[in-house]
Amino acid sequence: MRQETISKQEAIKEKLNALKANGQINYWTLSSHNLKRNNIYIEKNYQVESILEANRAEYDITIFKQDGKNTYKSSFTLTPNSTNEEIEKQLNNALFTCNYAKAPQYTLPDKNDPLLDDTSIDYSQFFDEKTYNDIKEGTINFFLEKQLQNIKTLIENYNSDEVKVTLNNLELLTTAVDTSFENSQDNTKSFQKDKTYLEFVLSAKHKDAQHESEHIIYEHINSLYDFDFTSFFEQAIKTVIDTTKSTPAPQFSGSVILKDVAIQDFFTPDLTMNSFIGHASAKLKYDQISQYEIGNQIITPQKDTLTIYSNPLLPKNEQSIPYDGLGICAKKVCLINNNTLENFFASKQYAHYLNIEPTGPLGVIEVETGKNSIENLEQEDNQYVEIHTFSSFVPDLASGSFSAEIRLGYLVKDGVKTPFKGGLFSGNIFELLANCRLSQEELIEAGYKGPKAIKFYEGQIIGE
Amino acid sequence: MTKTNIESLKTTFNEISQLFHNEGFYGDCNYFNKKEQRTIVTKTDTIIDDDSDEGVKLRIWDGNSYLEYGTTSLEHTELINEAKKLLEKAKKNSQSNSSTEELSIDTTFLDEEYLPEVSINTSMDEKLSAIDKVKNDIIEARDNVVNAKVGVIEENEYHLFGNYYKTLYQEIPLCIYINIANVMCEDNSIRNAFEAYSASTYQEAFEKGKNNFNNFIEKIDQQAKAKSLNGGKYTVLLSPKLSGLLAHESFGHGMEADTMMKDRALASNWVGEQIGNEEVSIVDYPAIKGKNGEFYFDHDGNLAQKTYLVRNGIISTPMADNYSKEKLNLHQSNNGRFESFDHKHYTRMSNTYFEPGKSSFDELLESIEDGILVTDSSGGMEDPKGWGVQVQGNFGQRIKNGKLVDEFYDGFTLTGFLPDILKNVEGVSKEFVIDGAGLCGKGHKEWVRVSEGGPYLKIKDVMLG
Repeated sequence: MRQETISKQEAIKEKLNALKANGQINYWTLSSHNLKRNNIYIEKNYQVESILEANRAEYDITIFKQDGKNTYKSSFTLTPNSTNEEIEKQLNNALFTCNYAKAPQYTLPDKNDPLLDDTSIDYSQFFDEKTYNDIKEGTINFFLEKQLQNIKTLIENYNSDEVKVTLNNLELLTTAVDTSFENSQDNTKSFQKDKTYLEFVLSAKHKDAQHESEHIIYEHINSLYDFDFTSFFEQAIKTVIDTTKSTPAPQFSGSVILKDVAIQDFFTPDLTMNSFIGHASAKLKYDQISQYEIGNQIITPQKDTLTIYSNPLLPKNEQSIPYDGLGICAKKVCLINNNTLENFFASKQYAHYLNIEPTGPLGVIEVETGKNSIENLEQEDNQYVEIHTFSSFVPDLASGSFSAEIRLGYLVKDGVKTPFKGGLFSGNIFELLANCRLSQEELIEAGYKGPKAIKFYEGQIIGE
Repeated sequence: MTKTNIESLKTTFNEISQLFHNEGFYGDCNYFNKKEQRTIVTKTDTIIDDDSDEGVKLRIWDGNSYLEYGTTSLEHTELINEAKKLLEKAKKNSQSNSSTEELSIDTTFLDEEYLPEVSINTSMDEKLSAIDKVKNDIIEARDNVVNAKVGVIEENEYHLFGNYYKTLYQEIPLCIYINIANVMCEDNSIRNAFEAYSASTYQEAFEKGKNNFNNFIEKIDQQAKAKSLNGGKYTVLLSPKLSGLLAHESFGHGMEADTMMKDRALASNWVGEQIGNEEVSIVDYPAIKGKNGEFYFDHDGNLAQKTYLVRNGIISTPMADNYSKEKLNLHQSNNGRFESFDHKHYTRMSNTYFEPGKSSFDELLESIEDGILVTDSSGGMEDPKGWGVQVQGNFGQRIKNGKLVDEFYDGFTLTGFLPDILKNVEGVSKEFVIDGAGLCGKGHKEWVRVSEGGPYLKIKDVMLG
């Protein structure tokens, strides 16, 4: 299979080079991806519902043409199954659509372009060799089964006459990825990654409660064998037990502290970007959606200021990546320095239009921590709201407005914490960040490195 | 996918199904191929991307669990070898299992194909010139449009299912047409006006967009004036898109049998109970041509049928995939779906909607003294355990004394406890539209295509904020 894959890749390259040689295209890139998955799905009573193994192999190809005025670009996907006839057909389609898919001309990296120089990149930092090998060889399941036994014992230990805790389901999805890149300038690169995703649901029922409560965890694990399953599950069990005492959400105006998954969701939401960071995109600037200017202050701070980096080189983080789609190497870039825009993150295309340097791929969002401890932030007010998880946090990228349902929050009054569920945290990202404080304690998760807590002084909770 | 390739895969699938069956095991095979072309024009760029996702998934039941193997390879010998490996594992597991269960699979022999009508191709020149004109018209229509995007996403899904009893093949062509305007609003923020239509062909989808062009320009004007809504309880009139989202996010997810099986759905305790007034019926039905949740059989090989989740206000039948159907001893439904060949089967929705009622839109509107017509949304999130509702990123217009007035609100969320919301449904319109082009996730992953739509719903005391 591997041999066949390589020869197919060579066949595609040969055809791309022939098109370039006869002037039909000016440039091409070819990325190959080989994924090996090992997934285990557990339902209640620790019953295995399914074990899934998969091999996925595909090539992403992009061809470029330039006529002095425009750059024309067309992308398509092939698999090792593609016959010579299908490769020809797809290339002809791409040549055809390339006549239409145009943007104002931008330069593409030259053969000796320093942007492609990866000599300083340590490719070993993008994966954990043991995890990667165990996924490849299918032996990861032994580790997963052992963890499941530990989890079962842990949950049983927390069960009492007062509260019954149950694991409703668990999914542990592991992937080993081999990626390679080539372009028409003979630039080649490759890297490996391992990815682990853990999802589980715990429910708890207090003996006096009418209904069960549940707590859902979605966790991208950066380094499987270093991950502390025991303390992670202990925390989740404590949280679900807390939710059995939850009350309806209060109506509240004042200090709101985001912690845990809530702060991670705030700075790196799942389906979009935090607007304060997202407006540092060169594409958004070019599209006239961002009104940011380099050197200009974005918001006037009343308390802490924000300094934010994109770091695609953070070791063993799921969101770290060594180069972008054109092979331009990754680097850590300061986007916002003390609330002032320092750099746009920019692909080659949009960097060209804005006359700035391309930054390579966007990586882990790093937010500099503040000077106050979480304890200090909490002690400032007699009454505040603490939010740990949202149902879903999807701000409007353009305006920064959001309204998110709270899955788990606490109303804290004179040091007494009362959990609540439901209600809405509503506001605007730009307005909230103008009056905030960041904790000195740090949290590192997939895609996020920054304060463990953020306090907004003018928060709004819509509740009962 | 050529006819020859499909015929050759049918032969491979038959051989694998026979192999499993002869050894006393149930197994099935799915070939999945999704080809997608995205054509998007903006103020300065034209983007055309082709994407494809193609592979085979083999599955065997070992008496307790499914063992699954997904691969990009379509090669006969390799697939047979992988099937043999699965069979060996299943035999080993089956010997070590203290007890085993048999799946109750439909044993009707069937060999069917579901093919689309032959459609007329539109040339790339014609298509680009048409959508480019719409983009220019949007930009020129209003000075406050800073940029616009018009896009067409054309998708063809080819799906072959095979087990010992059935060989089923379907081709689903779908086209989604999208308009987006980035609008400089009166409060100096930039917000998006958005609309999407789905149909079987580009021509139909584009025609829908063209016919609604003036409404879209009106939407830009409304967006520019929109303010934040003060949080509180309101009487709302939900548009078809929003009633579809309510049916899907708030109710549909709670009626997925795999969620019930994991004791994660409050709805389990309510089957057979009255939850809404008699005018409330909620249905999941995939076999609707040109709607984004269209299919004729699922990835478990079950033929499409209408499933009443709520019938005349009473909670009725959960949707199920084969595994959860077995565990909960439910009726067969057609909701076993996966995102791709290297993903697990789950219980998933298709086209989920409230059935139309008896009132007209005008009658519902006239009956509201003070309320909000909620027209658009960016999406929602399920909470089957708490039966909580979260539909976010909403856009709405004020209703005063039975008339729509010139006050618009953006970015608010609709929330509450679902049984309260359904109990408070005061009217269902006879006007009924299924459109839109949504993707549904199971939590934060496993995306499958679904539709949004239904009638207008009048509901009192809904929490907005």
